[in-house]
Amino acid sequence: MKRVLLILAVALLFPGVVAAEGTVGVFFDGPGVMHHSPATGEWFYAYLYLHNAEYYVTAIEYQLLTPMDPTHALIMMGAVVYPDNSLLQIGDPFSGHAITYWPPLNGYMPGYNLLDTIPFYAVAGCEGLDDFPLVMGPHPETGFLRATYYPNNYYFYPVGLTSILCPVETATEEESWGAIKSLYR
Amino acid sequence: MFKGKVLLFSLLLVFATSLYAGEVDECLSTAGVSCSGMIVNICPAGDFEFIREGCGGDADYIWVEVLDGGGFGIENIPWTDFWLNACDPGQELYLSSSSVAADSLTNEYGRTTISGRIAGGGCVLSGGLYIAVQGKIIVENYPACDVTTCLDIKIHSPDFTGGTSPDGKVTLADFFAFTQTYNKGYPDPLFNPCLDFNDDNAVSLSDFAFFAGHFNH
Repeated sequence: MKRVLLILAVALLFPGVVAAEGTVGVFFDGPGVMHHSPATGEWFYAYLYLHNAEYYVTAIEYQLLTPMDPTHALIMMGAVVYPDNSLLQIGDPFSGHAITYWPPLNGYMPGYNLLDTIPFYAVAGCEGLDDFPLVMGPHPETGFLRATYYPNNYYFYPVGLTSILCPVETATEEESWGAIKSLYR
Repeated sequence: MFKGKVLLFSLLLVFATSLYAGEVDECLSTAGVSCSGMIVNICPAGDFEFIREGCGGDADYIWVEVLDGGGFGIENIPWTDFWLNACDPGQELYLSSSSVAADSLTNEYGRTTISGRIAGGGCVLSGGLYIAVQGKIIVENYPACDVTTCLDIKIHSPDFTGGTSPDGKVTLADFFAFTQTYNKGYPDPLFNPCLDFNDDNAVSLSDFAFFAGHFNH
C-alpha cells in the first residue's frame, strides 16, 4: 500500500516538474497551433516558443529535428529572425542552435516567449510531406535541450514538443453515444 | 655637553622615523587572500563577479596591511589607492584608472579588505596577481625584498580579443574567440579556460549567456 501511495505521489509530482521547466515547440499562426498544411509555393512562418518556463531566460540551445530522407528538400528554410533582445547566436536550427537573450526573456509573463522565427518555403505544398514532423530536440554537441536563467545562468531543461506539417486527417462523423453503444449489441 | 648630544640624537631619531612615517613600505606591508583557488570574472564595465564570490561563497576578500618604514600601520589610505595586475607580464590585464577599490579606508593598523568588483579585461590563469598601494608593489623576502607578493587569484573575462591582448571592450573579436572554444571542455586543446565563467571546466551555454550579458561593455 505504501509503495502504491509513493508511486502515486511521484506520478502527481511529475506534471508539476514539467510545468515548472516549461516546454519548447514549433507553432504556426501563433501560440497553440502546432500543425500547418502549406500550399505549393507558400512562405510560412514557424514560431519557436518557450511556454510556461517560470524563469528569466538568458539562453537556450536545441536542434530542430526532421526526417533524414529526401522529403527534407521539399521545404526550404529562410533566414532566422530573432527577437530584439537576442544579441548573439551560434549555429542554426537544423545543425544545433544556441541563442542568448539580454535582457532575459520573462518566463512569468506572458507565458509564451518567442525564441526565434523561421521562415519556410513549401516547394511542393503537402505533396510528399504527409505527417512531416518538426521535433524540438537536444543540441547535437551537448546532447541537451536546455536553457539558462538569470542571474547565475544555471541550467533548466524544458520539454521538447513535436509539431506536424501536412497532418493526415482521418474523416470522422458526429454520432450520439447511444448509437455507438448500439454497435456492440 | 651630554644633554646636547642626547637632544641631537633624539632629534635625529625623530627625523629618521618621521621621514618614513606615512609612506608605504612595500616590503613590510603584506597582502593575502581569505581563501585558496580564487577565480574572479571581470568585465570592462565593472559589472561582473564580486571578489567576495570568487571562492564559491559570498564572504571572501583580499586583505592588505599597509605599514610604513617604522613598521606602523598607515591609517586612512583612500580606497582608490590600490591596484592589481598580473604577476606574469605576459598576462597583463587591461584596467582603467579606477578598476579596483578597497572596501574602506585603512584602519589604525593599516588594514583594509577588497571584496568588490574589478573593472577591466584580460585573463590570468597562472602566476597570480600583485597588489600595489599608492604606486608601490608589495614585495616579500625581507631584507632583500626581491620577491613580488603574488596573490592566488585567477581572472577570467569576456574581453579577450582573440587570445592575444584585451582592449577594454567586449567586441565581435571577442565573440569570434568565444565561438572557437564554444562547447569545448578540458582537456580539449581548443578549450579556453579564460572564457569558462561558471568554472565547470567547459565553455558551454551557461558561459555563452554570461558572455552575451557583457557583450559591447
